[in-house]
Amino acid sequence: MAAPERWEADQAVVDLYAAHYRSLVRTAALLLRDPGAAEEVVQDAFVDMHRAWRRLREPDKAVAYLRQTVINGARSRLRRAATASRHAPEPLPDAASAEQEVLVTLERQVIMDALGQLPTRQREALVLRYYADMSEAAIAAAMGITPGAVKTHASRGIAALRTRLEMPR
Amino acid sequence: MTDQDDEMIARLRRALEEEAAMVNPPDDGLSRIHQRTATGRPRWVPWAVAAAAVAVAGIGVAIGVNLGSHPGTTVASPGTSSAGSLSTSGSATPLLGGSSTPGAHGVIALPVYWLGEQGTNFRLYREFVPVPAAEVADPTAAVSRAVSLALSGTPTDTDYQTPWAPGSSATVEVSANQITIDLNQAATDGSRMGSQVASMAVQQLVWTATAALGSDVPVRITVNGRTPDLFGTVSLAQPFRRTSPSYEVLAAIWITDPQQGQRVTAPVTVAGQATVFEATVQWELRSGDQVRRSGTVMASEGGPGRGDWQVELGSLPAGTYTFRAYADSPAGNGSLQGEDTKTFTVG
Repeated sequence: MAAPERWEADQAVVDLYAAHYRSLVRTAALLLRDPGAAEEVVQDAFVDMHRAWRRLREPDKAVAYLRQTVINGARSRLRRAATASRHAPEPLPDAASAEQEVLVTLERQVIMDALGQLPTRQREALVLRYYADMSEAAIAAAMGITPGAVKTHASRGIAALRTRLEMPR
Repeated sequence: MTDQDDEMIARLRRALEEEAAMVNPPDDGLSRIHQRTATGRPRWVPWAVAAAAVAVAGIGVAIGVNLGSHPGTTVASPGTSSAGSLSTSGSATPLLGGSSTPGAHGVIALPVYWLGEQGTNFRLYREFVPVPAAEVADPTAAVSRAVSLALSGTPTDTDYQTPWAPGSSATVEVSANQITIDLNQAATDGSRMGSQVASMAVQQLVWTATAALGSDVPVRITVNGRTPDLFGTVSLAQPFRRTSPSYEVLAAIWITDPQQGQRVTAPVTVAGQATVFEATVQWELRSGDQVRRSGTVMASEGGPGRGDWQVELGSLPAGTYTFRAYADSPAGNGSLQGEDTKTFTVG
């Protein structure tokens, strides 16, 4: 990379890190339910973005690129985890201390568990829409699908959550 | 979209927000990224990105990075907190890409942590101490100076203190992935410290050294090259890391801007950080014995997260003011979750 370009790329990393790193890690953590893996996925995305700067050139494009790369990174993590868990022994039950149990907000836990059981695309659509507050167009770009499909995934996701969470009356 | 859908969406939003608030990535992300994007000869750029990084880090550590082979980046003031309206040292050069004289005139504000009381405990507070840039031109010099200040310096804010015995000093070594602080014998006098203060004193050095380096590396502490139990209570066998979660060591409320004794011009904005219940920070502005204004402000996130907050005071008549930020305990027993006060002059 030529020196001025390299400089721009370095600076883009610094600027975008300040503005987006934490929210990207949080978004990835909601998709993965694993903050450590979320950090790695987002750091990978920044490294890729730095490499791709020559063609991105603009912060808006770079942000879109980061989001897309994070979503893809999270997807492939989940796929790998799914493959691994088919061969892994059953996990031990949670050995949370009594103190921690008190702190756990049951509502959040239940919703996050239900979200975790949704198909990947539905979960992505819901997290990007209702946590990251992204527009349908931006979500579509990040997920690599059409805005119409975003709508469909989101409304199916909400319906599925309702079904899972509704108490029998 | 039905009412039930709306209700489900509201519940989902709340759950996502709460879950996300528990995710607070450590502040070494940027240096990790830079380690992977850098090629060629590494170059130390102290605090060049501090202002950018501070807002993200939430805990306000200055992050120095390796910016590859770009020539001539100069040093900037890290004084800018998340609110971004501080100009403590005045003489700092602009952020990235400013002057190209690496000789660095100007002043660098070194992050130094102190102990302050919080209820019956001690917690860490941070000040930025201006030092000539030329004296801290490399990471070892910067860490060394910051640690020396933490051991034997005097905080500007008289509510803070160093717990170390007079005559304490240290030799600092900085390698790629570790800081070593070798204390002198005087520093081992912990006769005025309980075990709670002793471990906080160690964290004071760890937070100061890593902030000055701009990288959250392990910190090894020795005494004359050996690793006795410090003050008889703290094992030095293993290197230390910043305690996580940070609320176990950082004071629940910080005022980061203005700093104690600073002269500011209108419009005045006070900014800080807080880890408090429901993100609610109370404040009052006093001049003399009079409370001139008071209110509450929401931090950007509630406990256990650390949020940023700011209060716009607008234009104030010239004079000396004391701003107090505090949070009553949700237990309603009159105790405080945390408190910080700064006295500053307008005009």
